[in-house]
Amino acid sequence: MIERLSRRLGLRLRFALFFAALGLGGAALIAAALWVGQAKAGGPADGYVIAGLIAGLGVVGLAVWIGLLFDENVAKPILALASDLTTRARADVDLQIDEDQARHLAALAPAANAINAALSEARAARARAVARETARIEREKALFEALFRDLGEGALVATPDNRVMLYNRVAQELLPGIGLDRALETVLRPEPVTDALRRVREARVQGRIAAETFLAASADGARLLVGRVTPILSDEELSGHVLIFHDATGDLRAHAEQAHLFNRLLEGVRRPAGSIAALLDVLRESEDMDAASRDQLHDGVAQEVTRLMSVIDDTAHAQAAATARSWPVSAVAVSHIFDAVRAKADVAPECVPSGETVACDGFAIATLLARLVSRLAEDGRREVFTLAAERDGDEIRLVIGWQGEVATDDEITRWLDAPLSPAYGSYTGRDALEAHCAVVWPESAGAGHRIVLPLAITAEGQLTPEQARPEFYDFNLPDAPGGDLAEAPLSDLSFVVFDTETTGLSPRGGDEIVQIAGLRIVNGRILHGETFETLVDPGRSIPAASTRVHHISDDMVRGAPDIAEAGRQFHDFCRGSVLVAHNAPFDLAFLRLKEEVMGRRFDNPVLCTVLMSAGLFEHTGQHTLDALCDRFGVRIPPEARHTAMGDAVATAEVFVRMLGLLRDRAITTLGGAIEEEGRMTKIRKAQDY
Amino acid sequence: MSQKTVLLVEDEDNIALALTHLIGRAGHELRRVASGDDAMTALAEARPDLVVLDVMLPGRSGYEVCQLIRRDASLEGVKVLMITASGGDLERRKGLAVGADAFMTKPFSTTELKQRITELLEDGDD
Repeated sequence: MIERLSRRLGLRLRFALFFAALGLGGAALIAAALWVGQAKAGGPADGYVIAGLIAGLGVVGLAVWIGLLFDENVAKPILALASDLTTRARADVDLQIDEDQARHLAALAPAANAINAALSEARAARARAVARETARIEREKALFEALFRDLGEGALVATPDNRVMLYNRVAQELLPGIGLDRALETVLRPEPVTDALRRVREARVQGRIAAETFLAASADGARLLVGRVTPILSDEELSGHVLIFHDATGDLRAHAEQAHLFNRLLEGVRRPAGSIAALLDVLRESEDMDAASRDQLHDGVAQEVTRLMSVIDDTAHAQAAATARSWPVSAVAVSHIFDAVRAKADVAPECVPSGETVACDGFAIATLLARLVSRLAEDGRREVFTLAAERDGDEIRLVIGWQGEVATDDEITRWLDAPLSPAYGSYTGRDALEAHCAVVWPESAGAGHRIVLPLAITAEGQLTPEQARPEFYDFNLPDAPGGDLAEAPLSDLSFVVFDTETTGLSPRGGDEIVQIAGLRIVNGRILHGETFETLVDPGRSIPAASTRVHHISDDMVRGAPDIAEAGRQFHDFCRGSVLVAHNAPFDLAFLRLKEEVMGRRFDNPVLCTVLMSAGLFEHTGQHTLDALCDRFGVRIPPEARHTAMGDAVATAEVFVRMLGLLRDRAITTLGGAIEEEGRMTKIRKAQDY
Repeated sequence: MSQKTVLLVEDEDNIALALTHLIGRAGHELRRVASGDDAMTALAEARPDLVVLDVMLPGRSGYEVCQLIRRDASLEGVKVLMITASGGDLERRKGLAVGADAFMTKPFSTTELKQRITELLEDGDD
């Protein structure tokens, strides 16, 4: 009973009740005592009453006074202390507790402060540990990301049901159309891989965990890939597999080309050589031949020689073209090569800064240049070494300069004839140059000398910071939605958010699409690295009024694919995804009218951000893309607005935020979201967007 | 036009034989050496108007001989025609870079060679 009461009543009220009981009880006792005293001793009641009133009021007053003191100095400080402690327990507050307010509570306040200090210390230590650990994980993550992304071979990690969890840059080059959560078979003929996986499984049953090799064509058949597949096991459970592969198309083709070239050369040489031998034999043996026949035979020899020379010329050209292609090199920043040369060479040359990139094996070229600098400096007759990069057409000339003794071409050739580096075995500097289809040569002007090494410049520039880390992996891919998509959780679906630019507003009135852009959302993340963007030739002129809106002119779409081709490509991009657009019915009307031309059907589920907005917010409000961007704080650069990609990105940013709001309203399935839209369909008709 | 002198640096005897006749018939004075080192000696003895220089030579390479000709002030104005059997664009570029005036790849037609030699020698007269 008391417990229940004390729980219900506050501390101060309980103290007040306690002192009230004390005062009233004392007063009652005094009254009772005086009453008994008067009854036993007799006498006038007035004296007793007066005494009783004084004593009773005194006792009550005392109780009130002490009660107030108690309230001020005990109850309130206890409450304040309790509140301080609760705050510190729940939130991260580092402030000391004010001990002065609880000075009458003896050691309680210092004790509370001690706890507070210990708590702060523990929290700080934990925060430091978390920060340290986070930094370590971030470092490792960055390392692995860089490793995977820049691996020279294609790398791909797939879920057990063959959906892509990770891919690197080379994989993206080799298998265009690859994307997170995409089925492997959309980019690769999967049978050889599944067969290799079956062998992996069989080997695993026998207790062997081994990689299996495969040779598979890309889905479009354009490339042949050779690679290995390795299972990923965690706790004896298969959580996916890793595919490492490279393009064998080039190797196979080059091999075939070389064989073809060789056969052609042999055949081409054999025939004129045979004719020349025969003609010369006849000439030598027939001394009595008349002049006309002799001339005829000589003409024959001359003809065959011309033929022989043209065969050699043709083969030489074909050979040059074939070898020029066959050496894989990567884009290397000239500044990195220079840094490496400075670090490796016996004397560090002065470097002229350069922002260029060249196509080469960076290590080999840096080692080669360092070798040259070291040899040049060896006998002390040369000094003031410099390194520079000079642009010459589509070449970069790497130039070692120095003052003093000249270096002859034979000297340079000798220096390059020694093995380049223990890392390369017996591979010499000359081999490295040949592999790059490059030569070095000496140049001189007065006392200044140079060695020149021309290398091909690469078109591939540095990634802009925006693109620096495109999303290329997601190890927490949701399970593939099975069966009824309407019941599928929204979070498990992948979306393609897209926008089109058109010649006008009337799909049935002859207006056409001039641009399509889309990007994917997988597992709630916008994948800025997986985008679709193409201009479309509308097959008609673009009205100037429309060009003013989207800045796409007739000239720009000339040579672009028509809607049949672009539509098919876009259809491939949308495979397995829910389509999302701002005012989707408009964009879809254009696409659906062309389904017959494309030979494809856009039967993907569709969500419209206009309708979703109307469902989520007051349907009296504005639902333009600009209004939604304002509402969610999404910034679109003004120059990107009204470009298909700019608007698609903005719609995607708005859409992921709307998904969050739907989740808060316990709408978690696609069916739920579509229903939410449906409620608004009628309202839409009256809407201005 | 005074008689021109040509130094032929070529280690293959048969092509040298053909070129000797060809250049002699064109009315030029010709000396032939078969190695890069002999070429340097011959150049020191008498200054020719034109050097027909094979790239692949025993001893010094044709590139080096050309480089040395270009560094020698006393040999200024000497024309160099390089010829090679390993016919790639790289060799041509390197030959021209070290100072050759013209570059020809074997096999070539004698008519073409004669024409080049004439051009180079006439050019030297200007």
